[in-house]
Amino acid sequence: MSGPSDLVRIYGRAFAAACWLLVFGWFTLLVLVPQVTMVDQSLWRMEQPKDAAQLTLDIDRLYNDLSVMKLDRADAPADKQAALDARIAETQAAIREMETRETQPRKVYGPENYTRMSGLHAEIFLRTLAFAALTTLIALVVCYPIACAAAFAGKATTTAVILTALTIPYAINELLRTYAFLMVLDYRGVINTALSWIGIIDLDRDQAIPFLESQAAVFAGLVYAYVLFMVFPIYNALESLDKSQIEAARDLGASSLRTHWRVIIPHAKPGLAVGSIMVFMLSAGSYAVPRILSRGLGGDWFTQLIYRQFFDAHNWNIGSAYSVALLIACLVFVALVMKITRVGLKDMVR
Amino acid sequence: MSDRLSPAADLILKVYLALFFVYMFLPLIVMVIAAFNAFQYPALSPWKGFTLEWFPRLVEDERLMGGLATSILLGICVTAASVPLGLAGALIVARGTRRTSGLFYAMLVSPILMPGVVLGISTLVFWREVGISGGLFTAGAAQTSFIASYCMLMILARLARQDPVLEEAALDLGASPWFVFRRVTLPFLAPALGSAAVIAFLQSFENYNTTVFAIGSGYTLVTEIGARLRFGLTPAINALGVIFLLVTAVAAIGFAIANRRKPAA
Amino acid sequence: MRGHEIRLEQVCVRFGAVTAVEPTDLTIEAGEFFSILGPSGCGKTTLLRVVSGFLSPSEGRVLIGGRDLTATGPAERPTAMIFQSLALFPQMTVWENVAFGLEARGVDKATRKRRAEELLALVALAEHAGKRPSELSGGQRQRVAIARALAVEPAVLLLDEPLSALDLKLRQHMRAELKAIQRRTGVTFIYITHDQGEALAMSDRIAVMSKGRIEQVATPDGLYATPATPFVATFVGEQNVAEGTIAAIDSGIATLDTPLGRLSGRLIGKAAAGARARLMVRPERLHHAAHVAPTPNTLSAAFARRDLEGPVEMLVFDLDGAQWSIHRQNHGETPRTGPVELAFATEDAMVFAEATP
Repeated sequence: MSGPSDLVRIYGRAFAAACWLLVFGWFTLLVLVPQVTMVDQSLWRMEQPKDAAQLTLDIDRLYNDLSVMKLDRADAPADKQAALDARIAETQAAIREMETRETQPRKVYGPENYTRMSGLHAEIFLRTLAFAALTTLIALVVCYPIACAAAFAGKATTTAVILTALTIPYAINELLRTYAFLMVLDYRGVINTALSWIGIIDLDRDQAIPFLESQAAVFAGLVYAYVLFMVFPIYNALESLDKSQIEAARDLGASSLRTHWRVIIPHAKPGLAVGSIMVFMLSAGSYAVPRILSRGLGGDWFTQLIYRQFFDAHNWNIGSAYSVALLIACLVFVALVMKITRVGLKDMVR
Repeated sequence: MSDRLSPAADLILKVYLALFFVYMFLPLIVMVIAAFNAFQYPALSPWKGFTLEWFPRLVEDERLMGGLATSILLGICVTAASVPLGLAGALIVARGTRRTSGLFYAMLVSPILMPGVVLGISTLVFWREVGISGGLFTAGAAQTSFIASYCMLMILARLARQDPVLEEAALDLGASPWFVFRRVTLPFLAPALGSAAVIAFLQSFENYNTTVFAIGSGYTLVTEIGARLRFGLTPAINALGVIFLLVTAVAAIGFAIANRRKPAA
Repeated sequence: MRGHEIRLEQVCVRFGAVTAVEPTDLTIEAGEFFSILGPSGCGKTTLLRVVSGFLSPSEGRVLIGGRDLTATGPAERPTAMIFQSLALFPQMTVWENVAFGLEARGVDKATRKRRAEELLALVALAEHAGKRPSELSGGQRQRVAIARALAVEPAVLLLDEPLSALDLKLRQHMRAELKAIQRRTGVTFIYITHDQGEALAMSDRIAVMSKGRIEQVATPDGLYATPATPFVATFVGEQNVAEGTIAAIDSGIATLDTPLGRLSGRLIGKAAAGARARLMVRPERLHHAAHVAPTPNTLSAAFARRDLEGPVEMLVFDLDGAQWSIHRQNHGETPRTGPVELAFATEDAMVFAEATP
């Protein structure tokens, strides 16, 4: 169809223009331009000039010349002094110019911010992604039965109770949820306390098991903090399933497993896709969980690395590069999930 | 789960569900109990007796109270920006031609598909180039970039349920475009706008990952909590957790009851 | 009479390469109940949107009450539309819905309320003024939509299949009610439908549309008795059809050679001997040969089945490769099977020659 959009037709030109302006400002100023600036920032770095060593030699030579000239001037007759003064001033200007060149780094574009990611940093990057993927997988396996239990509870009250009970740990602040989990793993946490009661360890003699110093603590914390982001999308998808389809499958003699595989899971696909994307992105991009749950030599999470580049090392270029790397990894994951589940953007976010 | 499953499978599912709830709630319960332990480190043991002393500590803490004020201010600003942006986006997507609608939908949903830290960082980097360093403004801009997307989705869901000729009918009866918007579209969208505003405020108030990068030397309640959760743990944080948990539980249960009362219209 | 005359002059609507409405001339009299009848996708709703102003024609002019309103938007036209979905505002009460057009015009609340109550009395809904549309029945909602449209005192009311969501009984009741409201108000009604029963029952005149073109404009009786094209003949009412070649034409009577034998009927339009043509006989004009005066048009058939439709019955016969039927009063029993002679009068049959390419 041709002609103006319904927006113009219904609300008029002025209103439509206001909408366009707002959305244009939102997308460009808050999303697009910042992302582009970050990518740009990740592609350049300040570099000492390549000929710095030669420059230093040249400057030294000029300083020698200068002292010679100054000596000459002291001995020179009055009529030659003016000419020497001019040469001295000239040389001093040259030195100043070369000195600024020597110390002032130049802006150089190149992929080095990415390629110079050291072995350790690359390892942390890959470990972060691997742990995030594993967290997603665990969340899928753990949550599917929970979502089914809520969706197919039969009685509306049971569903409401299960959902409300799940909402409480889901909706409480991410930091406090993680902190609650810290209470389990801490040096004086639930597990260590339990062990001391049995008599295996003595807390007062510093025999606590340092769970927080292992990477597993962060991993367990991620699962605890983000597992519920899988339940609700799956439940939402299952809720719209016509329950008589399940009965029809049963009636036609399908086993429970086959009913899940052929009827329920295909219907839940948009929910599985959304849940996976949410859990992966939250885990890979989590700064809260590793910050709270890692101690000592437990090793860094990629987001902590980025934070340090920005606020400790003040190397915003490398920080931007790492941030872009994280963004790309997440977008690749989104594309992958959409391709595997054949779920479009519009089906996902409903 | 009861009438379709064999008794054995039903029992397994129930046990599984119970275990899952224990897993989800046990840490929270421990956090709550420790808030009332007189021991100066947040733990269940040694139990030094029941106390309420950690709660007044919160009110006396100027940084926490300052953070709370900042969070509320930031939340209001982000809500005030996000709801109109989300509304404009939803109207463009819902009322555009088929081609522009798909394109704008993808563009405006994209912030949700990016990690929060990346949104915070890109905002920080961009505004520094313009000469504005990290602070409340950049934190608000970074939060708005994706919270407006959530608002848009909520408003879109409501718009999808509107009779598409409702507004045409109003125009046909002689209403001006602005009158149509004010008298027909806006009242219809009002519930969605209300919930979008609530969600926007909560998202802003609760946000950590984006804010901690974008806010520079400033702080909100949540980033202040984040700063304290690594070193110098005190049961005061547990007391704060108890308050958060109470508010969350009351809201969740209240919402559930309100939802049940409402007939499925 | 409050109604306005409507004239479409060479109105044509194209969407890209697709032509939805071919260039059309049409005049609708002031105060007329005018229906546009056609199958879905024939362009009737597009034509209505042109009249209402929601759609600008690609070419041509729209005159309402003698004024050229081609470039005028829906809000400024003296027309009001009743939508298929009714489009009642769900968050307003019934009287607020009815008064909406007045509110948009800045009429004060007391006047609005009084006027809404008058109109609700007109459609017998006075006691429901304070309810929401969702609390009303389908027929009541229908009447709210009519009252809402009438509140802006339109000269022309445009109705887009407004009865299609109602059940059969209610639909028949609403036909009478719509007709009565139209008579009482004198407003010009343009009624869009794909249901010939509705069009025949209510209209002063009917335009039959097919594939973006108006095939015929006539009174309901004229349309039924003397269809101008084969499409109108088959779309309005039912027909028994035989195809064949014209053997002779004599003073408006064409004789065809068909697989069913040599048959004659009134020739509609022009044709020459040798042309392919279709002969059509309405089921109520077909009889047992024994019951009518002798006629050259007789057919050998075998009785196949009887479909009872209450007061009338449909007898279906197998002919040589075709099925024809008789529509007659209910005789209360199923005839015996076996060979039978059928006949029809020459003046009861119509012959349409196929358009020569």
